[in-house]
Amino acid sequence: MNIFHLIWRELKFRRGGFVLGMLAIAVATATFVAAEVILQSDQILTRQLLDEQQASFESSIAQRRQDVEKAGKALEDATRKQMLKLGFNLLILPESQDLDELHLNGTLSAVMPESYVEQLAESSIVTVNHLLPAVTKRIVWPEKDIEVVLHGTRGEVPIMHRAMKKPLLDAVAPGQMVVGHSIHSQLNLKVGDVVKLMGEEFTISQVHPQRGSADDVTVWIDLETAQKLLGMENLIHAILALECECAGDRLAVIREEIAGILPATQVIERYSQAVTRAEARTQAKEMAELALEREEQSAETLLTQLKEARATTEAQHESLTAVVVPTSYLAAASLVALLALMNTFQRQSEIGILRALGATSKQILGVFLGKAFLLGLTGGLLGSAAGLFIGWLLSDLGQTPGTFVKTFADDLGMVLLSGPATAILLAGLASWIAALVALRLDAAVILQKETT
Amino acid sequence: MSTSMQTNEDTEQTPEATETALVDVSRLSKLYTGQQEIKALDDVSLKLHAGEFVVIRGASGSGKTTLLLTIGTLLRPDSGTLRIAGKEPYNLSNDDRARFRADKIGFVFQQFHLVPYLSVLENIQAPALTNPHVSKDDAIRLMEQFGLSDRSNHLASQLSSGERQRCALARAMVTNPSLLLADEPTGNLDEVNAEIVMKSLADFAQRGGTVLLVTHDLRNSEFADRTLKMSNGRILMEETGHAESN
Repeated sequence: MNIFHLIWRELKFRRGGFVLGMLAIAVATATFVAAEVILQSDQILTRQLLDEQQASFESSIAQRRQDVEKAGKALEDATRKQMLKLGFNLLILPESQDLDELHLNGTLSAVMPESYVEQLAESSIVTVNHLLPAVTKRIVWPEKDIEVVLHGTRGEVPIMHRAMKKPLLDAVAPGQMVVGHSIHSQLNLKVGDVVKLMGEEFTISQVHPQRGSADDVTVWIDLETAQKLLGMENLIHAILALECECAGDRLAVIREEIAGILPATQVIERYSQAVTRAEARTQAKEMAELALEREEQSAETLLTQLKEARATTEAQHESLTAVVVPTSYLAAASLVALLALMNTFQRQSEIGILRALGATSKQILGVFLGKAFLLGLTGGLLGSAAGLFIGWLLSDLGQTPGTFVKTFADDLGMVLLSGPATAILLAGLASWIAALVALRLDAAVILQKETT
Repeated sequence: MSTSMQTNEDTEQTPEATETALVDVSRLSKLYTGQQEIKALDDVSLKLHAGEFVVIRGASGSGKTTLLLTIGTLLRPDSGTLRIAGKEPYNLSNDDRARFRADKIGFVFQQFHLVPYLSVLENIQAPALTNPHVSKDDAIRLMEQFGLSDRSNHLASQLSSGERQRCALARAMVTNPSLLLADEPTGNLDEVNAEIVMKSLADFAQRGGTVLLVTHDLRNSEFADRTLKMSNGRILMEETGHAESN
């Protein structure tokens, strides 16, 4: 005979009360465990959905980024080729040059030392290529009596820190002349003809096809000869250059760099078809990048929306469980406390005789709390099993119990442990008052009540 | 069996008597307070010796059950001292007193106080919860002795009153206590069963145990070595030997 035997026999004898209490605890535990399962399933599901969505977005964006990058490279390459084909598009002019003169008359009057071009070539400049010093002046060809633009050039000056590039334009050799299409047409000049310009004799080496620009009325000769004819020894009007394929505000970058090397100059861009095309292509690339950026933003927005939607669902479930779980525990605790109190009063005679037999306070407490422990344990196990099942039914996690358990494996132990543990605690606390009442019952009063 | 005589008026004891007394009650008082103050014990002194069967008679409310529970270490007196086997149980802690009770004292009540969900054998064994010396063999022996063997697995509710009281008596004796306290043990029994119970108590006393029985039934005095009369919380007189009904 021991306390556990006593508890067991009493449970069997008054099984109705025990079953009722156990069911109350089972319901509360099931609510708790189901709530835990649903809340944790929510979190797992959220993680899964976000991970899946993130992976999908990342894959899609990576693909698009790759496409854009590829397209960008192709565009840059195309632009570079176009630029190379279409010629110089930058003019480095003396700072004092009035640009209105250039725009209105197509001529330049301010000069700068020819040494500037060497200075530039020997620098570590990166924003321009293909330096071409030039003099250019609108003159009347005295021997032919027509107005032409005389252009003297000596050929490209290589930039020292770079590998040699194939020149865009071949130098005009001394004693030779290249003429524009309009001059060629008006004077009926052809390659091999010998002409005189300002007393100097030149052989026509090349005739340009029609370009529809000032080039059509331009004659090109050797720079040194041109300087001599125009009385501009060692001076030049401009340095022509080809800009780099820089992204963004190219001109500002170029200006900044050149200003650092040749402070007394200004840089203008000749608005050419090449520039337009380059800009269009750059814009296309920018558009593609913008589209990519928008897609990234859109993905981010969608992810945020998904997160918010999941957070709302989780918050709703949390709010619900925050009410339902405590309520069910409170109801179960109240019922168990009531049943325990009824049980105590029902067992007064037994308590009296146990006291008379020499039971200590610990033993009396043991009788009642031991029963509460069994009540909590059985109710907790039953409730945990039911809670898991209900949780599985109500959560969207796992189509079969197997996949559910697999998905939930990490948290299952904690849930299965916390359910019965909480139930035992609940039963113990709810029975505590009854146990204390039993402890405080005066055996003498009980035994006297029925005998005197 | 000892036949010492004592009343409230004569509480002086010889040193020899004090030495041999199993229970030494000295000037116990107990006052119940409430709507009405009741002096349940009023300066009661009493000695019970080993092997003595003492009956205390009195009407309801005379204080006899209070005296029995006080001697049974279940009801602390307001004043006075109680010694059992040389110890003052009310000077012990609650748990030590409980263990002392489990070891030294057996109880039998009019209402039996059997544990309803235990079988006859389990009820007789119940003191094993508090007394490690109680064995199943002892319980079986007593069950046989009280003619309950064929009821071994029956619950209390399935027994007759006589069987219940015999079961309660067996439970009280299974620890082989020094002192057996019985409160109206025959109150709910027919004559046959009452006699069985009284004879059992007398046998217990003859084997060296001390029995204190409180009752209002004059017939119980037939088995007593001493019969004391109690009224208004005081022991009024002592009748040595078998008392007669009045």
